[in-house]
Amino acid sequence: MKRYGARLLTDGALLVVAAFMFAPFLWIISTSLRLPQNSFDLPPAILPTTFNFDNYGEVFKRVPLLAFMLNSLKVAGLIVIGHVFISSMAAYAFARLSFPGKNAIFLIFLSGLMIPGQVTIIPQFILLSKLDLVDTHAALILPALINPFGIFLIRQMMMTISPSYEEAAFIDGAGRVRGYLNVILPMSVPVIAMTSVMTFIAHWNDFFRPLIFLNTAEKMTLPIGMTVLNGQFGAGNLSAILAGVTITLIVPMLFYIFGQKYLIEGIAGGGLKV
Amino acid sequence: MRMRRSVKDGFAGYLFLFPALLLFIVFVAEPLVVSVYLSFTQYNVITPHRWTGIDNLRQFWHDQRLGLMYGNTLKYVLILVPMHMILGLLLALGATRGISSRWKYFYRTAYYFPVLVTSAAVAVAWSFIYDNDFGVLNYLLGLLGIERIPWLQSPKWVYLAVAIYSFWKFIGNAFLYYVIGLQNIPRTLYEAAEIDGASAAQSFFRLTLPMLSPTIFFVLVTTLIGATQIFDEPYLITGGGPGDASRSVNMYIYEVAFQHHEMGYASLVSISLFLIILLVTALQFRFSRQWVSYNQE
Amino acid sequence: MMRRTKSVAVLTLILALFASLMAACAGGTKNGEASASSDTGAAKGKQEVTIVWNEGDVSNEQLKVLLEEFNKKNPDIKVNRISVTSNGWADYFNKIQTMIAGGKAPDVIRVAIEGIQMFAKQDLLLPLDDYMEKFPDALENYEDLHPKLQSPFVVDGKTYGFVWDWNNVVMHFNTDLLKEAGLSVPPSDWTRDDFLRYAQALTTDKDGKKTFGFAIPNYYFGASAWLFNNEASVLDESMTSSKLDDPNAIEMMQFFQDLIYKYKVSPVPNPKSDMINDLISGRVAMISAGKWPFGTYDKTKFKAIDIQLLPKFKTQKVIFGSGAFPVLKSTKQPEAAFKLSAFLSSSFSQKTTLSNFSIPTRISVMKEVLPKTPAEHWQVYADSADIAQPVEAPMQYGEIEGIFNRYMSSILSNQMDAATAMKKAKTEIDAALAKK
Repeated sequence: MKRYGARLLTDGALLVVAAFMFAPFLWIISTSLRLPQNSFDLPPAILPTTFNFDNYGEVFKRVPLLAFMLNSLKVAGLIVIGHVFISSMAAYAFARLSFPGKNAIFLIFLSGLMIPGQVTIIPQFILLSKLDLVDTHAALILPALINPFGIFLIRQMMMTISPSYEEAAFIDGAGRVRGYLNVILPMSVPVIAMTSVMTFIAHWNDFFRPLIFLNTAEKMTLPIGMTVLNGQFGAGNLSAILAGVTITLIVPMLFYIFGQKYLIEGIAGGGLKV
Repeated sequence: MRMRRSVKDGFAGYLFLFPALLLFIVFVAEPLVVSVYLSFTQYNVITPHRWTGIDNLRQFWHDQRLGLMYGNTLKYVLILVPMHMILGLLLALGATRGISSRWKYFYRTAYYFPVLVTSAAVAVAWSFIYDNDFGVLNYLLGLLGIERIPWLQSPKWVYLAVAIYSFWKFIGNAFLYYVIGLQNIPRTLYEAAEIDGASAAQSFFRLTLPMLSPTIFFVLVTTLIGATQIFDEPYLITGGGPGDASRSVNMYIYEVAFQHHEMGYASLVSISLFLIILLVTALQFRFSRQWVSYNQE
Repeated sequence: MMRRTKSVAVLTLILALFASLMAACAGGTKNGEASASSDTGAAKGKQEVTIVWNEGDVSNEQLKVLLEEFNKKNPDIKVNRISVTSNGWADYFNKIQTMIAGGKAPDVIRVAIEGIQMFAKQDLLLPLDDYMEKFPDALENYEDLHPKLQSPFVVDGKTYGFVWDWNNVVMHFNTDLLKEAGLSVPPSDWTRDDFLRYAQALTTDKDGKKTFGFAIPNYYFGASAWLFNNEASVLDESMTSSKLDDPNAIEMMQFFQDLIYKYKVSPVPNPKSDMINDLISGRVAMISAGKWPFGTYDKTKFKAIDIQLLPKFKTQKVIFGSGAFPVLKSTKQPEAAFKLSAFLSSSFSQKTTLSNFSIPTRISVMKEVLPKTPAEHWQVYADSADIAQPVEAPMQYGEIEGIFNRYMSSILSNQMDAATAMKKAKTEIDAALAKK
């Protein structure tokens, strides 16, 4: 009986928290469907009562939301592609090759994890401005291609792969490059998929760096674009703003549906056994 | 034979490492050195920099606003770190009990999905939710007979506002790590404990917590570093206000560097934050030996 | 040995792939840039000029009309527009400084009075006087530009731009709410007590729909206008030290605080909320703003609007801010840039672009455009140009705005009383002014 009560209590608490997590989304979507002049009317819209889709058209008229999303997709996508190769190559070197200075270099890389972004961002800004790269997407992509955490996680995974697989390939006449490309890389796909998902999310949502590196409207990524929608130059009604917010939810939704498997498998598959 | 293999490996090793190493030097190592150098200069990016010695350091000691920012950041750490660590664990424990996989999927989706959405977008919505006179939250509290709370207008409530948002947006991170950590604990251990007659509380404290300690440690280190560097949440929701009440050190660095264009002083402040993070992290690793057990499985 | 050579070849290939990837992402953005700022056209006798002018100020359609007209006289000048995203003036100037620092300096920039000193005193602007003499035809009748509004763009005897738009701060009324409260728009000489009476009468709570009488302008330009009316200001006349610790300034700021906590006629400003929206949706009945809300009124087809001067406190003044298009010194096309800058102050330009977000600065255009304002008391805008005072904006404007807004927020959130906050603000502003 006591067990049963505790169970009910736990279930209740979990459901309350789940409801709390969903409620803002419901409010956002419901309010985005209200007429602009009613957007603030009380009681607030938790469930949609009106279905006025004009706000969605209004968003696209006011700000180039689609362009913002494409910019974000370009930036995050290129970073992920770069990450897949650069991090996995470095991880391969650390995990499966021996060369002088390997451990020292690895330690230095790891300590890079501790350096907070705001220490390096000022010199990076100066450097990129000297290279005429401020206000280009390259300013967001290039520094993000080095990802010590990703290298670390992929290395952990690669170290668990038995040497026999690669040796079999060497006997067949493969070199290190083929060993990497044909044997180790395919076997590391779960962890690379996980770090790619994490990298993509981080840069899709990144606010700080675009805030500093981008100036012109046409290059804006989504997070900064959203502040424009709400900002003084956008000036709109709440319903339209929330229609914009709703649109931004689509990509994460797709991502969750298709990406969560890799994320969870990757973390569970040993990545986090620090 | 052996020798030749290693030489060849060495060559390949550097080649494989080359892109990462190059990027590391250009975008991490060099900036760190430059940052230290800049701390002793005055530089606004447009006109050439000027060596000013310890002027910045002097300003640092007398900067009252900076003291306030460090106090605010400490508040964030003290509120957010325990919140994510404890509530994340409780949710994970609840969602990994013997419930159907459909429920597990439901909880995982509910708690984790906000992590994926664009902060800047949902924070805009949250700042309206928190509106004093017209916001949803105060309306709902009103139904319960609770007076309107000045979420974003009071130096006290503003921290609760950021904490609630932070819970909503980021609890999924800690939650997911805990869930996976818990799932990795072999069931046989629990069964053995049950046979030995251990109570639920005993098996939690003697089995679950020690087995989970590497995950707990990981969550501690990451949430602590995250809270020390907090920027997006106050920037987007409170704007650092009212006044300076919720402005973090990182927001201050942004203001000094990119709004006042005082790159030198901003570098010094950022280095100070770096040293603090380094010290705290080092201490954590030092003490982790006493409670984190890696010799599992 | 063979194997090794092959490995190296493949690895090199991968590296090359990266290099091209990086080049592609750098190049991709560079290409976009090429049409915007390169001067490849110069070789063919075509000059390219880049202007920073936000879409919020001038739409693509308006710009197209403008440039067609401009190219009739100047067929060889190709104009490219860049929009900059920002939060307020200080942030906007900041972004332009970042562009200059980042080696991406435009040729012509839209600058309001708030930024002119900042750019001029840093020696970033090109004096235009010589070009005015050299190309007298480029600039339409200089005398027609309202001299008071033009004056901020003449710094130390050098002309840095030709005034295009201006704005002031007046009271906007939701006339539906006035009617409900049985009030009409007050006369221009209304006082502090009248204002308070209006605000109280307009504060209502009907069927759960709360309406506040007045939304406090919690930003530099708007608050400055009210300070002026109490014989106070943020800075002294020479703009070398702050006057916020003056009793008049403290009194005004305390009045703002009282409007929220004592009289309860104003909402506590939300850092993100939009007053114009609140006025339209009837959540507040009065706001103080310039001409810019008329853009939003027009878009949302909101008609129940009228305006009046701000109420009289110790005195009754009007604040103004004006804007122009200075040329950056670093431009490679100074003549073309000058011609564009001059053209943008022309009657044609003002008539095309200044319908509702801002007020034209040519006396002739003002006479034509202002009567079309959809508000009964539109005359208020026309009359105030002659008596208006410029918003105080020294070189350190960005920092001062930040300090002022921060302490205003402390006051309005009831963290500090006005006297304490304003004394602290003065200390910080003085320190900022002392910096070079």
